Amino acid sequence: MTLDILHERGVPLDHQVFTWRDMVRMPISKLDEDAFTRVRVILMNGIESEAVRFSHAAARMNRDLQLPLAQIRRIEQHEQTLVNWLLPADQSPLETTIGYEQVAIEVTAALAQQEPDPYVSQVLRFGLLEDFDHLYRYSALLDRLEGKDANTLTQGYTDIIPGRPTIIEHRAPEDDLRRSYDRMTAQPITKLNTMTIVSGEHQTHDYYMHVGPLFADPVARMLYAEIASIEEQHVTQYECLCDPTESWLEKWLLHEANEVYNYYSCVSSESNPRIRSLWERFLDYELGHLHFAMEQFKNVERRDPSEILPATLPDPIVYESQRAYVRQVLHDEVNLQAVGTEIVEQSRVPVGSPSTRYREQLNSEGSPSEITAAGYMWTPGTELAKPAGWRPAMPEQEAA
Amino acid sequence: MMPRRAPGMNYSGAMTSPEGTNAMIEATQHVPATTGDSDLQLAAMRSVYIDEAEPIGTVPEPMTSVAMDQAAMPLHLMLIGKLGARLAFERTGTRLYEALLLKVQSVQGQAAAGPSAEDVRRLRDEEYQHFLLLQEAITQLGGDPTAVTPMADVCTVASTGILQVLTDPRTSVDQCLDAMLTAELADNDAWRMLIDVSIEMQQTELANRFERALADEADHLDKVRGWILMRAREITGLNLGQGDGRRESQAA
Repeated sequence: MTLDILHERGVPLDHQVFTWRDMVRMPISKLDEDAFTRVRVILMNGIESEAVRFSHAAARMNRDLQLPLAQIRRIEQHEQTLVNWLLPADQSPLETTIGYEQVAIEVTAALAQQEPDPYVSQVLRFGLLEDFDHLYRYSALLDRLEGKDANTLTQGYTDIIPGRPTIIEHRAPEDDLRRSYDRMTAQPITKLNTMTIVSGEHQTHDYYMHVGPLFADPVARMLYAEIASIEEQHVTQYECLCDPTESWLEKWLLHEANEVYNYYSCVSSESNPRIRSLWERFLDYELGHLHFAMEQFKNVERRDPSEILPATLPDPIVYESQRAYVRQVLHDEVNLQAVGTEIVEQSRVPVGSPSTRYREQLNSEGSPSEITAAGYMWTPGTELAKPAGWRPAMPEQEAA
Repeated sequence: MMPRRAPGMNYSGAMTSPEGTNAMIEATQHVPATTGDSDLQLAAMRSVYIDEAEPIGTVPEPMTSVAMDQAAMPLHLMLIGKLGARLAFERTGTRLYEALLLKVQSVQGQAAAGPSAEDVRRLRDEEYQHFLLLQEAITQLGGDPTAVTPMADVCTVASTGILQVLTDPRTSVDQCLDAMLTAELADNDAWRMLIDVSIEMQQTELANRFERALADEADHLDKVRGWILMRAREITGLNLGQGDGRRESQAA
């Protein structure tokens, strides 16, 4: 399936309507749904959340765009509601967190592999190993606090082992900045990938900041505080990748294109027909938004949107286990560190660097991520199960 | 943490701010309330969702082939569902008693009445043994002990509040014991039901082992009740619990 986004006009804005009943639908099942459906729901909430966030920022800086932005933003708000409300109430905030980290691992790994710019891919892999460690820390918390196995949510797709230790992920702000792509030379997929990752990480940061105080356990509250701080760093790092010389309208256009691309990716991979029909509906809505933004772009900037947008969308984001790739990256790059805008070997980090001093101070009264996961090894059915080498029978073993 | 038993400045009651409360009552007299029967409307909208709802989830298929009459399948699924629920409850229960143990250790030496650390540790260990027993029972019946059954999921949702009480550093041992009483009451009844279903499934050996677990749980319930009473007596200096005892003996 290819999509000609310059000619496919989607649904006109005045046909994009909602009711409260329409927005508040039956959620997905925590138990019976494939984990990648939850991954898509979480990521698409992030994509819509970024659309609303960007639109507000743009409105504050562009008086003449306030009405058109508000018109689109209202629809994005309702799309986001419908998507985010698909998460079920029996999924605790900590279980949802596990879902967020699975998104951060599997989607980042997929983006890193399709990314043609070696520097952008490197930065994605750098962040990937940090989120990978977060899954391990939160899984330990889920096991030790609530007595639950994180794999009941991740469903065997994602390894739960340490990554780059969270305790050393804390960096001084100057080591979180990254070089941007060049808007004139970067490929469209690079622009889309960076926007997707900024969206995902920003919503993760916001989610942890909201749910952290819901926990009674002080160590849980500390762990959320710690990992939310890393997510703030990740937003800082990833937003730097976007060229800051893009105009507001250019950025708006790219946001709309990225929403189209992401819904298109969801349609391409969704296994649940009920949810796929929602992705199809919103793909058509977003094509409508894109063409509305294209008109604004033509009228205000007097430029041709095809200067920026590809005629057809790149291949969709792959929603499947990236285990082999993640293991390879973990093996090759776990010891890398950031110095300024560069990702370097540990040996190239200057003694007493700003990041070293920063994290020594921050961790000086104890490290929540270390405390939570001390000695933790993921075990099927939680560490209390300790099944002495138990492994599920493989199909061929059963047949034998 | 030292228990605080003297009254303090609590702003939650309307009586704390008579001026503000009177002004608010006055406002409600001047601005009419919205019209309509809220109970009916709430119920109608909730009913629409109940009618459309899909189940929380399903009990997973047996992992190994177990020879079974198809007519027995509903009972089998019920048994696996309930075993899964007990397993989740006992596993979380182990964590709950670990949290209680911390509380008890933190006030050691401050109160004569109530559980000792050793008491709580024993209950924790028994919960853990029950978890292992259930893991074995599910495996024996061809189930996957790592799967979350719908009933396990719902039980976990129901006990979320108990976990919040136990893990909050601000809660007292008394407040934690009250929360544990809720857990133990539910646990006792659930074990009884599990034994009944096991007997119906002709799982006599399992039912016998569950009887022993129920005996432990009955003991846990007695102990938690006893600790609550002992602490209340220590705090008030009164011989509380006599009235309750009389009612129990009359009922018997």
